[in-house]
Amino acid sequence: MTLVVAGPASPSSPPTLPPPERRRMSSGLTRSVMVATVLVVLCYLVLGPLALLFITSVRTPEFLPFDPGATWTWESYGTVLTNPHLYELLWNTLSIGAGSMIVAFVLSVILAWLVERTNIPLPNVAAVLIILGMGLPGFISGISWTVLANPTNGLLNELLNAIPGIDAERGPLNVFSRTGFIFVQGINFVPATFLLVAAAFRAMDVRMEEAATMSGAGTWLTLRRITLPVLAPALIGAFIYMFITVVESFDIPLTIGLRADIRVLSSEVYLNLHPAVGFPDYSMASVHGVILLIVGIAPLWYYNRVLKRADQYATIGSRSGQRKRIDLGRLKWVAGGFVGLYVLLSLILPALVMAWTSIQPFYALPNAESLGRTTFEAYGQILSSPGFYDALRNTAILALLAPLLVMTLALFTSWIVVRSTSRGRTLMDALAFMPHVIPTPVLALALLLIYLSLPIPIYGTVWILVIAIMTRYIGLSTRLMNAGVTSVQRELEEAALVSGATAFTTMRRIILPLVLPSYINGFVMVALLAVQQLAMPLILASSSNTVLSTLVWGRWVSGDTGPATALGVIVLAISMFIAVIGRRLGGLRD
Amino acid sequence: MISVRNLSKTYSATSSSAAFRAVDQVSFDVADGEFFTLVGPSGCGKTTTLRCIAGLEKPDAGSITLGSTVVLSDRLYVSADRRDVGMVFQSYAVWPHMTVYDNAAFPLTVGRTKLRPPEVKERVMRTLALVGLEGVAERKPTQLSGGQQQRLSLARALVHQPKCLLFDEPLSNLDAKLRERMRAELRSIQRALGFTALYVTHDQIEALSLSDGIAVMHQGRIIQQGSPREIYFSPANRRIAEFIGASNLVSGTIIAGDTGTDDVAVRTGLGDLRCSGTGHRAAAGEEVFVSLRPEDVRFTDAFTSEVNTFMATVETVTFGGASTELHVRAGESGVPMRLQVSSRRIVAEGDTVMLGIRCQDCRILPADMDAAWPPPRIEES
Repeated sequence: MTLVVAGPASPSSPPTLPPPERRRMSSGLTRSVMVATVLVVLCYLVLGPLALLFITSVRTPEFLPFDPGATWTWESYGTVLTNPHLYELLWNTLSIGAGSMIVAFVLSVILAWLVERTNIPLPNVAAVLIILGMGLPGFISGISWTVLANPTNGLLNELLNAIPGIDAERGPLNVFSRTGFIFVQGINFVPATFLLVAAAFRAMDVRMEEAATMSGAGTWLTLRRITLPVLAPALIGAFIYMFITVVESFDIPLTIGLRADIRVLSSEVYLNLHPAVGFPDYSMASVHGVILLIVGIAPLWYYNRVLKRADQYATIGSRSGQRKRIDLGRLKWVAGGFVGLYVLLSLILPALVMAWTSIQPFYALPNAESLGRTTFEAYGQILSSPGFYDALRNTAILALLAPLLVMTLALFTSWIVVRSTSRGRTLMDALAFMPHVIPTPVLALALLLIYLSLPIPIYGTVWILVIAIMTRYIGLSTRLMNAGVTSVQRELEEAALVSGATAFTTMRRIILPLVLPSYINGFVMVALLAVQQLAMPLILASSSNTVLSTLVWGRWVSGDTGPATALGVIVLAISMFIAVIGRRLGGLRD
Repeated sequence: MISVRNLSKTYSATSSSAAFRAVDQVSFDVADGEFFTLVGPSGCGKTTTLRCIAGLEKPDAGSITLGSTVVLSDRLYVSADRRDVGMVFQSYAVWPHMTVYDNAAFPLTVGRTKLRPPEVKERVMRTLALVGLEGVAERKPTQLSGGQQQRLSLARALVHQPKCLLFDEPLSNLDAKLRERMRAELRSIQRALGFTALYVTHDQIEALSLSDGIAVMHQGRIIQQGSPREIYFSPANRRIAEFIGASNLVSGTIIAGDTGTDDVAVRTGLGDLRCSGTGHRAAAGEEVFVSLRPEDVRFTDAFTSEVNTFMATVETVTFGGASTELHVRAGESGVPMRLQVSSRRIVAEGDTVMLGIRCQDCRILPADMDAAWPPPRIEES
C-alpha cells in the first residue's frame, strides 16, 4: 500500500514550516559550503527529473527525449487529450479515488471515535492492531483479496455459495469490479487515515463535548452535532491532503484494476511503459504523468490558498488531561466486535489467505482433503532460486542504505532550514517537500527518463531504486527531522559555538545525539515504505534490480500462485517485523 | 577590554512585521576586570548587543574589539567559535545527553587549542570545585537542580579561562532566594578570578548590585551610562528614573531657575519646592518633573531651609517587614505618592502626617520622558 504519514506536524494540514526565528545563527564558511552542497543535491534529486518529465511530454512519441531524431511536438498531448479514453481515465481516477477515500474516512472516523472516546474493551490493543495494518503492503492485500473474492473461485465466494439459498455462477462477491476496487483500496488506506483522524480527535478540546453534556445532550447527539462538526475542518483538511496518496496509488490499480479492466491514471502510466505490444511510449507516459501530477496537486493548491486561510484550528484548543470515556453500556461488546471484525478483514484474513495459498499445490478451499495436501514445496522452490537471493539483497539495500542516506540528507536539510536565513530556507524546504506531491508512478517515470538520458550508468541497477526511494521520501524525512531539530533548543547549539566548536563539530556532538530518536523513527518508516514499494521498482525494473515486491508481482502475473504467495508471505513477514520494530521504537505515531 | 563602536543592527521587514532597529549606534567600553551591565526593558536591544559581541549575531555596522583583537569591523568578521569569550545563557543550555564533567570539559576538547586528557581533567575538576559541583561530576544535567545547572553553565564558560565572560540574563529562571545567593557568588567569583564581565539583565536590582558600570538601554540606544550610584541618584530623564528604582514624579513649573547654582524653585502640586539643580539652563516657566524617591521622603516636624515639607493624608499602609510602604495624597492638590518609611512608627489609614525631603534629594527631570539632558553632578552625603 502506498501511504503517507503526515508526521508529527499538525494532522489536518500539509506540514508547514516552523515560523522563521527572528534571531538566526551567523554563518561561517563551513556553513555556506554545507548549504551549497545540500541545495545542489536537492536540485539534482528533485528538479532534474521533473524538468525531464515536462520535456519528454513534448517530444516525439515513442522516442526518448534526447534520442537523435526526436523533435519538439505537441503530438502526444494531442493524442491523449483528444482520445475519449482520457476522460474515462480521469473519471475512474477521481471517482475511485473519492470512493476509497470515503470508505477509508468513514471507517477511520468510526474506529478512531471508538478507540479514542469510548470504553470499548482493550482500546490500546485495538489502536496498535489498526496501525500495524501499515505493515501490510498494498500489493499483498490486492493479491489476497483476489484469492478471496474473485468471482470464479474466490474462497469467500465458495463459502457463501455453500450457504443454502445463495448459488451464483459468478460471485456473489466480485472483487474485479468498481465496488471491489474501492473497497480494497479504502481498507488499505485506513491505517494512515486512522492516525490522522485519531490525532484530530485527541487534539480536540474535550470541554466542547463536556459543555454539550452539561447542556443536556446525550452521547449520540453530542457526537452528531458537536464532535463531528468541530472536527470537520480538520477532517476535510486531512481528506484533501490524503487525496494525493489516493491518486498516486498503484498497487490496487495493478493487482485488481487491470484484471477488472478499470484503468486509472497511475496504471496507465505503467501500461504506456510496458505495453502488451510495441515499444514503450515515453512521450505518452509523460503526458499522462503530467496530467496525474495536476490532478494530484490541484486540491492541495486549492487547500493552501483558500481553505487554510479560514483557519480551522478551532479544534486545536488546549489539550485537556483526563478524558472521560463514553460508556457504551452493553453496546461496547458490539463495538469491540466491530473493531475486531475490521482487524480480521483487513489484516488477519489476507495474511491467512496468503499463507494458505502458499502451502497448497493448487488452489482449493480449506477442508480435510486439502489440508492433507499441505506442502512447503513452493517455499522450497523460492528459497532455492538465485533470483530470490538477488531480490533479497536488493531489498536489503533499499531497506538499509536508502533510509540511511535520505535521513542524513534530511538531517542536514532540516538543520539548515530550521536555523537559517529566511530566503534560502523556504526554497530548500519547498524543494525537499516537492517530491511528496508528485505521484509515485510519475516520479518513477521522471527518474527513468533522466537516467536513460544522462550518461550516468545507473539505469537498471539497484542504485536507481535507491535514488528513487530517496527522492520520494525526502519530504517525509524532512518533516520528521524538522520537528526533531526544532525541539533542540537553539541555545544548546550556541553554547557549543561559543565554547569553540565548529558547525560540523556541533552537528556531530550536540545535534545528532539529541535528534537521534527522530532520526531512527524516520529510518524505520522509510525502510518500511521502501520494502512495500511496488510502483517505483516496477517502473524502473530491469533484470538486475529485482526486489521482493517486483518478484512477487512477476510470479503472480505468470500464474505461479504458489511461489507468488509464498514470497508474499515472506514479504509480509519482513514488513510486519519492521512495522513492529518501528512501533516499539516509538514511531508510527501521529 | 571590550570596545564597541557604533554598533547597529536592523531586522528587515517581513510580510508580518515592520523593519525593526534592534541596536542603534551603540558605543561603550568595558575596562579590564570590570563588571559592566546592560540593563533595560524587554526589546531594548541589550541581548542583541550581547549576542553581537559573542558572534551569534551579525550586526549591520560597527566595530567590536576584544582585548587587542578586532573581531568585527567593516572588513573583518570573526565567527563565534573563534572568539575568546565565554557565555552563560539564560536557559543554561547545558547538554542533556552529556554528564556534568563532559559538559564542562567540552570547550577544552574542541576548537584550536585542545588540551591533553590529564590536563583537561585537572582543569575541569578545578573549575567544578570553584562553582561547587565537584561532587556531581558524573551526573546528568537532568538530575541537577536549576541552580546547579546554572553553575554548570558558568563552569563551562570559565573552563578555558577566557578574558571575558558574557552573561545573558542568567538568573532570571531562578527563584528569588536562589537568585540573591547566586548574585553574590557570581560577584565574588568574578572578583576572585578577575575576568571582565558583560552582563545583560532587565532586573535593575541585579544591575545595581552587581555592576561597576551600567548602561541603560532603550529602543536600541544607550540612554545613560555611569556607575550604579550615578544612575540611581542622578537619572538623566524620566524614563530612567522610572526604570531604575522607584520614583515619585511630580509635575511642576520652574519659578526661578538659576543656571550655575544648585538651587531651583519649582511650583508643584505639593507646593513650592526647592530642588537641586541640574546644570541645565532651567528657564522660568519651563515645565519639568521633580523626582522624589520613596525612601527619601520621611516623617518630619522641623521646618528648615534644607528640607521641603508638605502635608499628606495616608491612604493605604502596607507592612513589609523591614520597611512599610505608604500610599498617600500629598500637598494641597492631593498628589498621589508612594513612600518607603521605617516600620517603627505606626501609621494608620486616614492619618494626616507631615513629610519632608531634603532639597538636594529632589531632582529635576525634563518634561520629555526621553529627553537627553546631561546628568547632574551627584551630591553625596
